[in-house]
Amino acid sequence: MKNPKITIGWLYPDFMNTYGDRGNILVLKSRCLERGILVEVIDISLGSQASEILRADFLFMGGAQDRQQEIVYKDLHLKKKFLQQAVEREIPGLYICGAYQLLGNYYITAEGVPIKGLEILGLYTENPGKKRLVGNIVVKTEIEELKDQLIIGFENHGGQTFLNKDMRPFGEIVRGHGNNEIDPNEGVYYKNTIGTYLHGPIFSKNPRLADWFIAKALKVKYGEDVQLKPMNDRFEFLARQQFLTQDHA
Amino acid sequence: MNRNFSLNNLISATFLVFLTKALFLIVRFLGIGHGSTWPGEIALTLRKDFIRRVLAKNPKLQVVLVVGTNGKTTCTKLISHILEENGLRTFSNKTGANLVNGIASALIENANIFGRYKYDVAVFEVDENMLPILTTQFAPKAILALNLFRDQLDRYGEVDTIRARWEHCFSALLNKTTVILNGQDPNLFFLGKKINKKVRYFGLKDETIADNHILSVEADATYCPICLRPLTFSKIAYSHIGIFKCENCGSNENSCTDLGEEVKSPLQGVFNRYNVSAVSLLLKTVFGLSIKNINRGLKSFEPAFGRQETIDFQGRKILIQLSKNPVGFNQSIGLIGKAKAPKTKVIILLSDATPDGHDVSWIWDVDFEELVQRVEKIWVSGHRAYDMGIRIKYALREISGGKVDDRSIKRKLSVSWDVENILREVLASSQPGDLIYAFPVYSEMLDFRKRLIGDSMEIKNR
Repeated sequence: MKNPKITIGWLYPDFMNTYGDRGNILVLKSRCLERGILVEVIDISLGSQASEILRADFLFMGGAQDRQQEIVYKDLHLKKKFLQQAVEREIPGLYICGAYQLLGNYYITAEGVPIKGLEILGLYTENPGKKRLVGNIVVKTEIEELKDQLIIGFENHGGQTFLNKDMRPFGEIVRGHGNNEIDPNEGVYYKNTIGTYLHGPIFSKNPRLADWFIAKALKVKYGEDVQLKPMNDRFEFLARQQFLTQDHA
Repeated sequence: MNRNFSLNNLISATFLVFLTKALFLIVRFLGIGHGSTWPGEIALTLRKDFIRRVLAKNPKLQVVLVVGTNGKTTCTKLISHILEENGLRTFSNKTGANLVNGIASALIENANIFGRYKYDVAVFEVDENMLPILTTQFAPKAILALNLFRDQLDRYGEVDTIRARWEHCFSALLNKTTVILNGQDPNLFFLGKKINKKVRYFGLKDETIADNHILSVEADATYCPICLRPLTFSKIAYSHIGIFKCENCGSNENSCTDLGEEVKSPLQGVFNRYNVSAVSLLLKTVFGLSIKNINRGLKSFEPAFGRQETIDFQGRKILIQLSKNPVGFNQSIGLIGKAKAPKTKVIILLSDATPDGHDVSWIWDVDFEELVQRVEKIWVSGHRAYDMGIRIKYALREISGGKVDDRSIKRKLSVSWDVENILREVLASSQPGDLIYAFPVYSEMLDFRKRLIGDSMEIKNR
């Protein structure tokens, strides 16, 4: 593959960026450039052409506060067709927290008001309005290539998500809550799309997940399997070690 | 213990002051712990309405509450100091002890054994979530709300949640309370418009704000709460603080009573100019102080604990600036000037202890890309040192266009769990007289300060 290039489509960076989500973009970009892969980041937001979505080789959307989410929900319903196509065409995508919930059929707010989802994935979310699920989280992922490595991060959400029987989770909870308080599922994994409650900079302490997305994006775009050159992830290794060994309340 | 079994009716507030005060003195005499928040905790356990009772017995004591994400401690200290300089007697809660038990403790510690005060004004800094609990107990003379930024989302929830809580709380206030709000924080400006109370706004004059129109990533209040359209900022002082309006529904032409020109900030940074503007407006409108008298007080002001506090350490001057959330951290970075060949050295201490918040995601909202360009070297330590190490490594990669070798990262960045290690390295690479910046989160600030000067009086009970 000559002069490979990845276009990152960042959905609603101006609204959906509450927990350091942009860290994922920084990490992904840098891990591409380091391997000689060119990167272009396009912002897709209010006023963007919906077809921009299909220009992206990787899609990313973070979480937000309710008020911001409301604005985005309205706009994204207009762009739904394109996002659905991207998901079905196996364009890799990472959807965090509010973005993950939005991909489902509906969301019932703490006040009991149903909000229609994009109905792209078979899942739904309810907010029981009692306590938020907050804390450090450790997940054993369903992604074949990453089975030997735990995914770690932080979750903080009021909504509880349930997958339809035919949907596969992103992984199984080792510590923390994940989708809800009932089943051991965390997130959703469909084609190359991942929805998860691991908010903010998930790539920062899971560099292999970032690399998995890069490899998938190249595979879908160029039809070739790539072996990414390893990087110096010593800090990541030490941060992971500390996270996994310390006792968290 | 069943709290419903009501000792409430049996024990008077005066007796509680006496009891807890006696306990406090015994403990202090025996040297088994600094005065902390437990006297208040005991009093509140025995009498839920302890604060209300004590204040009802002292109607002449005027209470000022200071809330906001950043600047509470500095403003509390500024208000007390300037009032003292003008002949009023004041007391405050200990920095950081800003939950209800910390305020109850301050009331106990400063009362005489009959539960009376020889003070005129109590100035309390109050945790964002605690404000509504206090205002149902008594009517403060004034409430100063400084700003509202994202901070410890795992503990406080989202900015919108706190704003809604404050709105409810302000609306229920009696008319004797003056509310002073930041008219250039859209969160607070629009809140003020909704509450139909005696509200005054502080801010800076348009022409004294640097010409910047770029919202930083951590800005939260960027759209109009009435019509949900993006706000237009003609000037941005920092984060989402600035001169704004909604082009769509025409909301706002903010009318701020700015005293920024007349009073001189004794502290660096645009955020401190806002702090001084806030404090001046409060002192002028609520206590009737003249600008001249405010200025006199400002002149002799010494910064609070770990807020631009300079400590001499083996001949080096270490300037500690508490940096605990994205907006605060970006302001700390702003303290360092830009230079072609930067010589500045910085120590960053990150932790996820309870007062700091368990979630360290926020560091990705800080503009470290700016910091790495302004400094010669960064040392990182603390419980979550390597989370910060990763963040800064990517900042270095980002500004180099993704291509930076390990050796140049090493030259610019050193990470260790061990603060002693870090200090040794800093000493080895600096000269006596050098200025070194230290940006710690709260818990690390206490430890670090202790390490530098041998003792720490500040407490945090969360």
